[in-house]
Amino acid sequence: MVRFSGRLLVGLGQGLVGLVGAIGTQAMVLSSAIQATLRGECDLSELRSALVRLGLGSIPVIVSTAVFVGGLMVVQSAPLLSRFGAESYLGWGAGFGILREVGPVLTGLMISGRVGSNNTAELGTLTVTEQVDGLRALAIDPAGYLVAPRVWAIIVTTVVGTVVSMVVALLGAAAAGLFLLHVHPATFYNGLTSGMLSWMDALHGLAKALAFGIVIATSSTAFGLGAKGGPPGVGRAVGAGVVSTAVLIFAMDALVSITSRVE
Amino acid sequence: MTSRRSSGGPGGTSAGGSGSSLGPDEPEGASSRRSLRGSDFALALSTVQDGDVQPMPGFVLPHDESRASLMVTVRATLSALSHTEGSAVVAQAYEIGVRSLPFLCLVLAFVGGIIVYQAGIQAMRIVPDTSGIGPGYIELLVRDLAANLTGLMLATRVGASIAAELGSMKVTDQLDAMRLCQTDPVAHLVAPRFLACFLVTPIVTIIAGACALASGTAVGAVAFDIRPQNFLDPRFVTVGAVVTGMAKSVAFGLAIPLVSAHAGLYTRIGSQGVGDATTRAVVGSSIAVIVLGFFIGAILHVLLGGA
Repeated sequence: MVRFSGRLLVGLGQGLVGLVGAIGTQAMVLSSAIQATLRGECDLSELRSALVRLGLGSIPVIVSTAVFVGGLMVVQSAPLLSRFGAESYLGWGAGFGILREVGPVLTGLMISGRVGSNNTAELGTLTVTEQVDGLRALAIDPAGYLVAPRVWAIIVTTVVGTVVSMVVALLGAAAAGLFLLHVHPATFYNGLTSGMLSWMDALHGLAKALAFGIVIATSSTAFGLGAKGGPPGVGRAVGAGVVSTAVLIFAMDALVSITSRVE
Repeated sequence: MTSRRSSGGPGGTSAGGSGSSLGPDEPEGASSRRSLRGSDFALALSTVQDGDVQPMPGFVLPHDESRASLMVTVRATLSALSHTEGSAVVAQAYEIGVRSLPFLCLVLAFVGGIIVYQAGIQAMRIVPDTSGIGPGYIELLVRDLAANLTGLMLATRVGASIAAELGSMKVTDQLDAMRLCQTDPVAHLVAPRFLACFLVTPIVTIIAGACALASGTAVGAVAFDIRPQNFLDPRFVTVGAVVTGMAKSVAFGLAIPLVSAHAGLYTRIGSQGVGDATTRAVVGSSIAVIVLGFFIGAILHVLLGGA
């Protein structure tokens, strides 16, 4: 028992040290991206290609996720609504969930899965094959050439992707409401706009998306640049990066929810 | 190549005639990279002994992804189940279940707290009555939230690790080395992970759901002064809700290892390959969880009539 609790304490301590280290590394990634941009060293052609590859490339994933997320929200609230006969509240319920919680979180998770791990894999490959050091040898600053374009591209992708997914998820929810609960789209729209939801709810979701974008960008970059040990090391870095990004997304979700209390 | 695959389908006996079509069937251009592989030796062995040896499932997987589909991997995995060792399943169950638990519990506890908090704010906006929050939250948790979120998080954690492990074995040619040693990679690597994930997912769903329940109760008590005995009121939980939640978690436990193992088995050779496979595993199994969750929820809602 003593040995077990000792091991538990050691594990907790190691976890805490790891967490602080991870936050520090991510802050360094973000600050080096900001510094490189302020110095005007952010490579614009890299930024454009990162936006196309990471941003446009993840639109299909985002859209297909959002349709089903909208449907899922309706399926989830269906038993509750039909119990009280409150179908006119469907638009409000689905809209509330999609705009404030589920839309940003699920989009963030999907972008972390696709864009974040892609970023980790690319940067990790460059790191373990010592191409990052090669850049330094050529007097090209990796912060301006590799880090800053990717960080900005991922943040923009997350925010824009969340807007897209909110719209698509609301359409998906309206469609699922029509087919599953026979709620007319006009009723759905009325529930959405009847005044219980405001633009503040959408802004709340966007604030979350911004926070998630920063977390995804910095943590995937940090894990990629920290990869070591050949191709298997890249795989390990991707796995560890995805997991810790997911934890950070939920931590940021709690933080934003609690700090931006609307009354 | 097509005759090669059909001759050694999983569980099927290899026909004697297939050996003759092996050599001339080989495509010219691809021969530089895939000269001789483990599956060729295995096929040669099984044709030599002509029906005595049943080709094991891992040997008959097609090598390049254009010819491989998820269904081939699924069939191979299912027919490899009888060759699986129990100790490997236990080890994987520890790896997948126990080692994921801290992560799962942390995430579910966060989400549970947030949802109760948001629901409380909304309830205060309309009617200052918090008595419905607890029962409503418990029903949501049992029916959807525990299964869906655990599924998503397992897709991230387990999907990434399965694809990274199998992928790095693939790019370092360890899968072919296993085939050369008459060891079936599907039976030894994929099937234990599949069985373990299938067995463990419902259990970790329940444990993580309990964490979400505890944190929701705590948030309700601290933020909205709901007494725990009023909050923990399962009056809305029906048999249908329990069935829906369990059906989802079983389906996720089946889908996640298969999608991820498929991505890992078909990792492209090269330094980008492992990262790519991990990405595909995480995205594929997350989408599988969301799509399956929607369809199971919708179908059971229609079948059970909202009961």
